[in-house]
Amino acid sequence: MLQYDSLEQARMRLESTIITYKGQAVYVNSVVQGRGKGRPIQLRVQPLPLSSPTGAPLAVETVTVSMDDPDANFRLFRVGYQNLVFGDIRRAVFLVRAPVRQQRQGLCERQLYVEGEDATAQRELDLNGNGNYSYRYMLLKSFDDMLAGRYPDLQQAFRMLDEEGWDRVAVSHNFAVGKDRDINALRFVLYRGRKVGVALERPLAFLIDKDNEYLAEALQETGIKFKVNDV
Amino acid sequence: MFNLTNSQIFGSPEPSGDNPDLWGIEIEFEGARPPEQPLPDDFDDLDPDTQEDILRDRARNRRRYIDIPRTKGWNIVEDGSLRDGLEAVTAGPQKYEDLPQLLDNLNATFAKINFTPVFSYRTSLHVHMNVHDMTLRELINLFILYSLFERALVHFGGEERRGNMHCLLVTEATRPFDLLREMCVAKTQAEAMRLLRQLCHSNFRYSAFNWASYSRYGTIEFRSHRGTSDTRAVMLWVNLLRRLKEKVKEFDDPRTIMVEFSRRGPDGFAELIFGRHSFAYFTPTLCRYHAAMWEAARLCQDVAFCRKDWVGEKEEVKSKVRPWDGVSPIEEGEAVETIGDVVMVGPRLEMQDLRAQVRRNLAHQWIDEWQG
Repeated sequence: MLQYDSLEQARMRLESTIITYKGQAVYVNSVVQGRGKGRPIQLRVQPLPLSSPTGAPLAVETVTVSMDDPDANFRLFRVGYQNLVFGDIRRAVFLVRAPVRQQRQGLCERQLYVEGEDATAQRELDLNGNGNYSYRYMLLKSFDDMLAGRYPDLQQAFRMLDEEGWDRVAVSHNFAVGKDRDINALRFVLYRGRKVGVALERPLAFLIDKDNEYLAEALQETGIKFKVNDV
Repeated sequence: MFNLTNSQIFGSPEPSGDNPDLWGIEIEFEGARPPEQPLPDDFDDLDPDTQEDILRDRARNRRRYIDIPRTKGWNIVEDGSLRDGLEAVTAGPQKYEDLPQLLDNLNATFAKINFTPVFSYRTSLHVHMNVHDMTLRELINLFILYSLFERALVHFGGEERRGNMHCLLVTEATRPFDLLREMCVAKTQAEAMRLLRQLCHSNFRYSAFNWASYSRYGTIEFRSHRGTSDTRAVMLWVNLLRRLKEKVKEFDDPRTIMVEFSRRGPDGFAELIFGRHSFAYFTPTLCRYHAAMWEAARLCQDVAFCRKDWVGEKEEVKSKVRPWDGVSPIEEGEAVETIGDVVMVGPRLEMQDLRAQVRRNLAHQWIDEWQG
């Protein structure tokens, strides 16, 4: 646990960032000096989601948390695929954290990059051109789901592709399944933002290129059926 | 490109002399300003001008750093990120064999002025390793070796550094892996160079394995050790990093590292890299990080297997490491493992292969079932 010993420092590092409290993603609204013995530094936080899939702000109660509370985590965040629902967007996007030179300890948009999206998708996501993420998407429930590692299972994911208009659906931090926009029957499996296997027939067993054979164990663990293309 | 050195890629001047075993050390410390003077008891009774003078003197005094005498081989510079902090930086690259003496000199200087540096959670030790003598491929080998051991290394250097925004672990802030992979599969050299420059951009310098100093100084900066000036602690850290650099040369390319890692498992591989006895301080903690090492291996595989031809001359993956290197008595014994209903008994070294085989067979069975 990092213990900031001045209010200014805690503010600079944590205000307007996302951290987790008791495993739940929370937005740090403000950092204040508490009352009582030692005047402890306190965080005023709001649990995600703070905005609805339409982008409308949600009324969320503010909770006060002591900065020294062991349940407050502002160091370790597991990022990966986020199943993004925002406006017309229904799409899994792959996020990575970058060791960017900046002053925030909690998660903020400057540290997060979207990997594996082409220019069209970047435009659709309305990103700022350099792959940096947007705060709009960090205040959604799906961002909390990502940090907590909550994903649909494969059956649900295929149903979301088939029936709910999704392009790509994440099934774990590192894997997603997707469909081709032109050839409707074509399905993909994606690993960390890039396509690593394709499938046409049902039940789906993805054909993995021999170069990606090293992913076999990870695919098995995720429950994704596959065979290696030896040709 | 992968067979080129830093000077050939970036045109940076190589350090003079034949010895490439050069290091740079940065030691951050706090408590380098005199303590605040107490106000006189009769302060409130003084006239406003005198009060102002006293306050101004106090403020001036607080702004001044303690006077640290010049120490051979070191520069002392201010560091705004610390609380009353300074940074002792070696004056240019230093020979490995000179480091203990330099560190002793620094500590002697502190002792001479009766100064005890404060190493708070804000302070850290940064070590620059000269990599002018390494090709880009060897440097990628180093990155992969480091990544595999990163969690254990960070534990060794100070667990409190983990997750600190000033030195994010490469296995937790993974953008360098993605950039590296993109660079390795780039269609043109120009594109690869663009990505390498992006990887080495100063904007990404808060990485525990900092590439930013590669394009600038021809060094890799390791930022994850807690602050200390203790000669023994600093040299242990330097020795661990130096060992990684030495071992890099034994692997043809990143794939051979991953093949060896998969074959030996975390303990066997650690023994191969760090030796059985030399790094007793480091390896006992390793068992806590087996899972983290396997997870790191996945990230490393992404880079290692993205190219078929790293060397540019041959396709075959061949390790210079002999199979019997670093085999411990434990590994030579028998081991029993089960996957599902399958019980495997055999020499521990063969277990990796057996495990892979069983998994492959199970996978084939499942595929057959799925296909009806």
